[in-house]
Amino acid sequence: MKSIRPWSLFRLAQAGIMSRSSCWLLLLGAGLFAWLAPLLTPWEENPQIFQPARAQAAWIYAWLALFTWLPYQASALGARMRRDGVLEHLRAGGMKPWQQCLQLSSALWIWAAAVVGVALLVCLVFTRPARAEEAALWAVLVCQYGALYFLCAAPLLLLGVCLGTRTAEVIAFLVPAGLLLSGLFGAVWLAPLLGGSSLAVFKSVWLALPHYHLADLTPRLVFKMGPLNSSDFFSSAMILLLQGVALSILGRCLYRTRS
Amino acid sequence: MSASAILHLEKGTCFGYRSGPPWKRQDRRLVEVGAPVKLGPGLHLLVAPNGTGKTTLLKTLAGLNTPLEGKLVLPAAVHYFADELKADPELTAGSFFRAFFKKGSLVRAEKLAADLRLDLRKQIGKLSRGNRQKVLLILAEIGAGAGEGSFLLMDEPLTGLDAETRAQVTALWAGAGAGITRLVVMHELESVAQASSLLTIARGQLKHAAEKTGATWMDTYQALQA
Repeated sequence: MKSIRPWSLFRLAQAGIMSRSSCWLLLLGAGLFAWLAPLLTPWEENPQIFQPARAQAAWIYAWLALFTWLPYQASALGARMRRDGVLEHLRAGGMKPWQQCLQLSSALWIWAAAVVGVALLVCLVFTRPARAEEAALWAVLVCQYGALYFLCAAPLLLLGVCLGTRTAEVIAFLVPAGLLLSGLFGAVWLAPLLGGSSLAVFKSVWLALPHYHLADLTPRLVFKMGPLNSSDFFSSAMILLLQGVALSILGRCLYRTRS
Repeated sequence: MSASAILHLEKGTCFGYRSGPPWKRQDRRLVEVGAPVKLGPGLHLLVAPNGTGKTTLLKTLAGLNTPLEGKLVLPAAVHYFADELKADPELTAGSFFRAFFKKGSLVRAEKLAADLRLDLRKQIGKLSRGNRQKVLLILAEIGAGAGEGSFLLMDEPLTGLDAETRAQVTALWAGAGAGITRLVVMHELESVAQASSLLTIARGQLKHAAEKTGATWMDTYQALQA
């Protein structure tokens, strides 16, 4: 299919997302939320909280997007492309399932990156500390946050797309959202019970849980604790990367082109 | 034709699907090749009653299923247009083509759209059924048109088109793309005057007529089914 663009599925998916317009509302909402949410705090009593509250709001919005709009779009995209026979058409033309998977996921990774971009913009331009040394540490922390967030988002969206091609849209939406919920909050709640247990079964369950709480650096931003040291950052990144690889392999196994 | 044939089907090649749970898979044979079939560039019609295995045959030729018996080698770029293939209704036809085609191909797609009187600025979901079908026909023609040795498989592509557009499309098939092999499933035999051959499925056997055996392809079809 030489006359067909090599990234035609990505372009088609992207055109479909943009034609539905909600993506622009997502980005507009990111800016508005970071601007308006801090106004709900008692900032008049203590104006110093205004700047970290704005940074916190920007990242809360990014996590909210990863709970809602992003997995919904992933599941809908996978389901729509399979139902319409586009995946089968391209498969017959020689596009392998992993290439399709990559192109569809890339169409969503761009929007996850855009949400991270808005959060970075808010943190680096509007809430950057005035003192130079503090600002440098703040910038490193924000970049670390962006990288870890993306390591969580990318495989979850890939899984959402793959599940969308296999099962009902609602399941394809709920699975990545549920994994994110358990990884962000469940793992923290269960840490004393499972992580500290001497029983091998409990420890294994603890290890098997998604550990997305490692990517949540909001408290470090709010309390200006500075960036993670490089060994902590790389070990967190490695854990999230390995989890991401496992989810991606699972997603690829579930991916289906047949309409 | 046989010298440049793209598709060779050996006698005994079987098409169908496997059904049942993984531990108890059963072959469901639908079509068997009765005599060797060779298809080269040109328009080949596949006409058969409903439920005889036309779509299964097409899917297998497209590489989406494997034959139950025999081997299938296709030294061609395959373009498969399933009956259920749809373009995203939220897109305009223009943005749909821009997603698929590079510059030169895009210009050809726009010209063909103008010839077929298709509005590229209108959302696909707001087009009539016939016009939505035109979008896919243009995708098929331009996608296959650039490559020599393309094998175009289409499942009922004329459904929903008016008589005038049918005539335009069949004229296009007859005239354009000398290197393209088209295998088209259809029921509207009366709208095709020029075709290279006709295939049909009669009592589970794939039958091929390289030439008309009567005045029309309908006569040929009826002769093969008899």
